[in-house]
Amino acid sequence: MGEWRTEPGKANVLVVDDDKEIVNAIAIYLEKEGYVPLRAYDGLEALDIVQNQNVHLIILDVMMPKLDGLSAMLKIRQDRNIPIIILSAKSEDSDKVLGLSMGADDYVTKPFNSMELMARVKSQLRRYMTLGDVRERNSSGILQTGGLCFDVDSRTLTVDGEPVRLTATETKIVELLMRSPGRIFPAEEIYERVWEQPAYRVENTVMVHIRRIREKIEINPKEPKYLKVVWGIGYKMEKI
Amino acid sequence: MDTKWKRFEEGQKDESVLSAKVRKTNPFKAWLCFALGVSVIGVCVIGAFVGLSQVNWDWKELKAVFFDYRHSIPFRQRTAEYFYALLSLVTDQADAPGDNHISDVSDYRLTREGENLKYYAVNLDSGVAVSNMAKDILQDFGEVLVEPDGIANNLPLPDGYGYYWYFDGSRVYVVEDGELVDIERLDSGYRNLLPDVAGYVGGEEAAKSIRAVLAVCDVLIPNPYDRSMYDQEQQIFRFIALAYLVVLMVGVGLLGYSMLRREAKREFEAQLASWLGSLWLEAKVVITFMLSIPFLVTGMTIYPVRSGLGDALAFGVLILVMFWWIYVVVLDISRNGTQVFTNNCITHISQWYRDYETRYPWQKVMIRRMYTLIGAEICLAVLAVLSLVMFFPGGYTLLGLVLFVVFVGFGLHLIHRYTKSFSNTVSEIGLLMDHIERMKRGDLGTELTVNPDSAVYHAVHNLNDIQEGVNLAVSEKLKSERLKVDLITNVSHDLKTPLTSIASYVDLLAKEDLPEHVKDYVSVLTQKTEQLKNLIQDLFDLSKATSNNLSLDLKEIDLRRLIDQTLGDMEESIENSGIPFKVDLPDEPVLIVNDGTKLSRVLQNLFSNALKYSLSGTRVYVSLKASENEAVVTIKNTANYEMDFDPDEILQRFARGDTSRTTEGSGLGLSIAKSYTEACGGKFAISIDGDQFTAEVILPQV
Repeated sequence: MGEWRTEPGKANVLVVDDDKEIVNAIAIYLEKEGYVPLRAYDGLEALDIVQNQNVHLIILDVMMPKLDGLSAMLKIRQDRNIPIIILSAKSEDSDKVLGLSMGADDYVTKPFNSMELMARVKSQLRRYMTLGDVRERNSSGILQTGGLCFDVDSRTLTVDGEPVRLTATETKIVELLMRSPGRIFPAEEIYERVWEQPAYRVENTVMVHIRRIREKIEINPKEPKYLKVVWGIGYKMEKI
Repeated sequence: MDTKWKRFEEGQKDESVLSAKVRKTNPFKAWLCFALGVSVIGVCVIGAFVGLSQVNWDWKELKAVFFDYRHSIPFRQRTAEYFYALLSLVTDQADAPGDNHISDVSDYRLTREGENLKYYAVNLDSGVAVSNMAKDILQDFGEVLVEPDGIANNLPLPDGYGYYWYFDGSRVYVVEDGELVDIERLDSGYRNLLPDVAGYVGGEEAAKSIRAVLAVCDVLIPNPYDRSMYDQEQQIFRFIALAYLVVLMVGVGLLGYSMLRREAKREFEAQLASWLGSLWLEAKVVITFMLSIPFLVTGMTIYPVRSGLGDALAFGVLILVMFWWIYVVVLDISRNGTQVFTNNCITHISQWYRDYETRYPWQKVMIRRMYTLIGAEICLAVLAVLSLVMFFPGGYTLLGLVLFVVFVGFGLHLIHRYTKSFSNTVSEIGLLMDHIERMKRGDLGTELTVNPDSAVYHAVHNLNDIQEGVNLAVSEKLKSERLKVDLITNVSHDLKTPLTSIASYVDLLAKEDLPEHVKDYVSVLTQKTEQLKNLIQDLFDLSKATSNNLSLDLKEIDLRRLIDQTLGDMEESIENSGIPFKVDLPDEPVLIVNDGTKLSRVLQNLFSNALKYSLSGTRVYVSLKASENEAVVTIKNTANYEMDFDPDEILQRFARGDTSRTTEGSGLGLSIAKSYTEACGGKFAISIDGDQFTAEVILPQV
């Protein structure tokens, strides 16, 4: 187990999809990134490989013959805590919520963007590796949600262990939102607490800042994972 | 052999069918057995009572009549009759030759008894004597009888004649089997048989000279030469007793049989009850009245004791008929319950009248009812006045008053009934209207129920039918929409899978070291792949929205804030386009309950549409107006092309004006905006005025 922690580039990534060309394409991307791809074409094969080989991450399709992705995931989750990224043609919010609530760590829709997929693979593996450290430091002024860590003392933000450069205002906004993850902040409240001025017609200002933060911390800013707009109400940091 | 076997089997089958049929008792027969059994037993009981009443309710006496004739009342009565006959023989023969000469005069009543009777009577004055006994016995007899204090209980009668009556000139002695009976006792059975023997034979003086003895044989036998009344009566009573017992046994047997077949009996009773149920109450009342006429007329005084056999028979029949009629009435009431009383000619006539009414339109019926009431009231008023005018002067004051009260009361009753039914009708119309209102609001689950007598029953019935039809249509539609969504989902998946491969390999290709012109080709592929990807996603979203399968996440949101957020989100592309947005928002929050994510998509589509098709140098005007119950978002821009199409046309999917078709976007933006708005419960409108393009999103407010 400890081996790949020191050499993350050698991680074994299992790709499961009933479409062989898609599996091949993803395998090529993974090899380019320095991972070792393992291939499976249905849920049962995937289970077999997970049982017999050292798998560090799984990219899993949902609609597959023999055993579908969600059932395979449930079986794997019974005794393994490997990161699982679901790769599905189903793009509905309800599908995403279902997949994530059943134990997936991330959800990517088809057709995928290769750079985004690789970024998510990297992010999951890095997070998995640094997870222990984060927990140890959690007590001493660390705000954390998912792979997002904010150090209150040094006022620095890391995403999956990688530091992110934020402006002073952005840092204040991130700190405010991360102190109460899941809570929805209206633009006025954010403005008054960050800018420390009375708020009047500030929605646009705040929204622009939120968008910029999102571009820095999200892999795909159009489908944000952490910093979300609650349309017509406000903004929140997702509690993961 | 096979056929033979088969035939045998069939035969057996037939037999079993037959036996099953036989075993099943005819319900009527079972009931008839019951009825006959009860009737016979009833007649027997009544007969027993009648018999007992004839013997002063003394059971022993009744038993004696049938089984011990020589100690029964009829025997004693007959003996008394013979004794008087004997006395009259010696009384009337006053002028006959004397000397105790045995006269040959006799009475046919005595002679026809033959050996059953031995008698001797003598008139000491006239010397007339009558007897049917042998000479030697008579010798002894004469001396004994003439003795002034005759030994009444020790007469020298022949053997076998232990029962005799003896008159000693003043009173009668009766000896039964050698024992003297005290005939003055009430329970002796003789008290009223011999009221005044002395008077009968011509006074106490004349009686003193008369001696008579009448003995009856211990065993009553038929007289071969004539008809012995004793014998005949004994035979008749024995026969009656036997017949009575046989009939009683038959009655008990019939009743017992019907008890064994009580299922069948009940079946017939059910049939009978259902037939009775169909009869009007009036018919039953008339039958009851007619059956009770005989009892009413005679004042219940028909009593068989003092009447002849015919009257007794009529009485029995009447009692039986009455009994079975009461049985029928009880059966009717117990089986049919209140239906017995509701099934009368008034309800039938009113039912018939209602049926007749249904042939006319409802409003005509209601108005006709009102006129009928007015007419009836006028008639009753006239009748009431007439009854006063006609009867008061004539002296029939009470009759006039009663009629007046009856007419006025009936009139008031009619008004009361009409007002009640009118208010019922009004409240039911109210219910109906409420129900229609509920249906309008979409509650199709409950059915309205009203009384079948109700004036609006037909309307309610029809409405329920309509509701059922609507429910059916809705569920059919839901089903087909669910199928549609499944289809959309599957088609979308099947489109996306190959597209994923295409996109991936185009991307891999783009990363290869390729000649410059090939790189150009690949960039075209990349662009088109991206376009196809967006198109498929838009198509999927649109299909889902138009098939009413968008699930809404309803929250209270500020529409003003939503517009600002969407604009902020698109800030970069707005700035890059060089087309300024002029935003006019109210100062107060515009709160609505809706799905913010869906509405932001609507606004995004409208804003990017405005960006794409606005003439450079013009502005996009965004405004939000909130009225009492709706909020309107208006987006106006000046088109950069000639909009030579209908506003409706642009909303048709893919129906962008040919000139404006560009390579970017799917062309579904407006369609999605419209479908999403409608899915969110809003209205979407587009208007074109020259180059001015206006889109309006109207949303319901809280």
